[in-house]
Amino acid sequence: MTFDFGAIWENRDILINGVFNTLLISFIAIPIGIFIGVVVCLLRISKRRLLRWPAIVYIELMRNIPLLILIFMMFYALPFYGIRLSGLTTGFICLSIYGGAYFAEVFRGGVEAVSKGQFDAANALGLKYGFYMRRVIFPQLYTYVFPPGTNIALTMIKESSLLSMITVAELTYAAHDINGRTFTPVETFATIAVIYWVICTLFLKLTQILQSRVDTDDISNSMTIR
Amino acid sequence: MQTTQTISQSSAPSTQRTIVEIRHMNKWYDEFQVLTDINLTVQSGERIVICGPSGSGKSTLIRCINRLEEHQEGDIIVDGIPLTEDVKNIDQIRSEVGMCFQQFNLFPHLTVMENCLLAPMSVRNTSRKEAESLAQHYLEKVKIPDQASKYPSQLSGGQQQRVAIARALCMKPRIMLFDEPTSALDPEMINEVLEIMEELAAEGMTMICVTHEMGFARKVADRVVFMDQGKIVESAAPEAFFCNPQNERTRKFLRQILQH
Repeated sequence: MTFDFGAIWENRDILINGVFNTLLISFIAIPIGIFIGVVVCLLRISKRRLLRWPAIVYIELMRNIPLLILIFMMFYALPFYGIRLSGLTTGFICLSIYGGAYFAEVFRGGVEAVSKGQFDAANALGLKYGFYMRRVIFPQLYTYVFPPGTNIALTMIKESSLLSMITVAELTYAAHDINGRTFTPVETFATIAVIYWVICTLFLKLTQILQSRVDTDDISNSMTIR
Repeated sequence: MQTTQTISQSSAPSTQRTIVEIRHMNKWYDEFQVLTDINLTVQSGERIVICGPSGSGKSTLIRCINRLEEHQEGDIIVDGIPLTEDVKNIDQIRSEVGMCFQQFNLFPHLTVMENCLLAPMSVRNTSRKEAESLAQHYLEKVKIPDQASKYPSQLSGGQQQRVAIARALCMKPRIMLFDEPTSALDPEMINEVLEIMEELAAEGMTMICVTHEMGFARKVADRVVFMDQGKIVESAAPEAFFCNPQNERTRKFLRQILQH
């Protein structure tokens, strides 16, 4: 069997466009997802039922519905209610709210891992809730949330391939496209796999550098809170 | 039995006024009653030591004074402010009441100085410059003026607890609560913390301390309160408390802890 990578090289424009779209979708959806995660986490840990319950419902829905179904509902069902979104917009929204639910749970785990004494001290000093969450509790979360948070972000990058199902011209769609033109499935999908691997590995490296910076910044790696 | 806890000490100066008043306070964790009919009046400048076996509710009691724990029945009045659901009252009381914990609870990601600045700047709106000089003043007072730029994890336990005292003092509280401040410390560090507390007492700070340091109680306290099973069993001046305890439970407790 011979491999024909030349066919892929000829279609490199499609491929580059696919990489661009995958990166675009991921790197917009991840920050938005983190932001949603922080907000939903705060609602989720609220003592007020009215705030807590919507967050629980949201998290449970997102975690227990396949992302693909969410994408289909938004892309195919919403137009019946007069809401017509482009594939790319659907992609941003679906990935963000999907990742947001997982981020929220990771942040909640982090908040719960912070020693209860920290809350006691903040309260005893009379600090306001919003203030101490921002200045005392959340800065201590980094060490707890970095590894699981990275996993979620990586999942989001890879799951963006589902958007090929609604004709978003991201990497996986580009692969289908090239394969349709050249009928070289082995070469095409192997190439795509390598590109996903490279994107994810670079992303992982980036977060590791970021984490080591955070760790040395606040020496949280030597935290000795008992 | 509640005996003398609502009567102020005879040695107390006449200028004293009630600063903490707890009346018929009850507290439950679900079904389990942790505090039963607590009555305690503390005069301004008074030093109270609360002791008792573990699980007797002494920590819970002082944590109710600044609302780290909620009580279900009875009244707690701190410096004339009734402790209710009202967030404004709670905030006001917390700004008057400083607290130190067994585990110090310093903020690990902030330097010693930042630990001391946080509350005065955000709660009292003190300017950074003013807050810094205040913090420096209290860090000198607790004898660690040169550690301001270090992180808590770089300090010994005794130093951390002294920072925690300084951090609380930066809010210029009228009352200081101590929840077993020396229980997590190595033996040789206990004294450096107790010394600071003694100095604080000598300056007339109102103090309520949960502690097992009976030497400290004897030396510093105006009144020793003994708790058991969520009740105040006995409350007396240290002389009377240690030499002539009235209650059998108190006698048994004292026999056990003073043996060593």
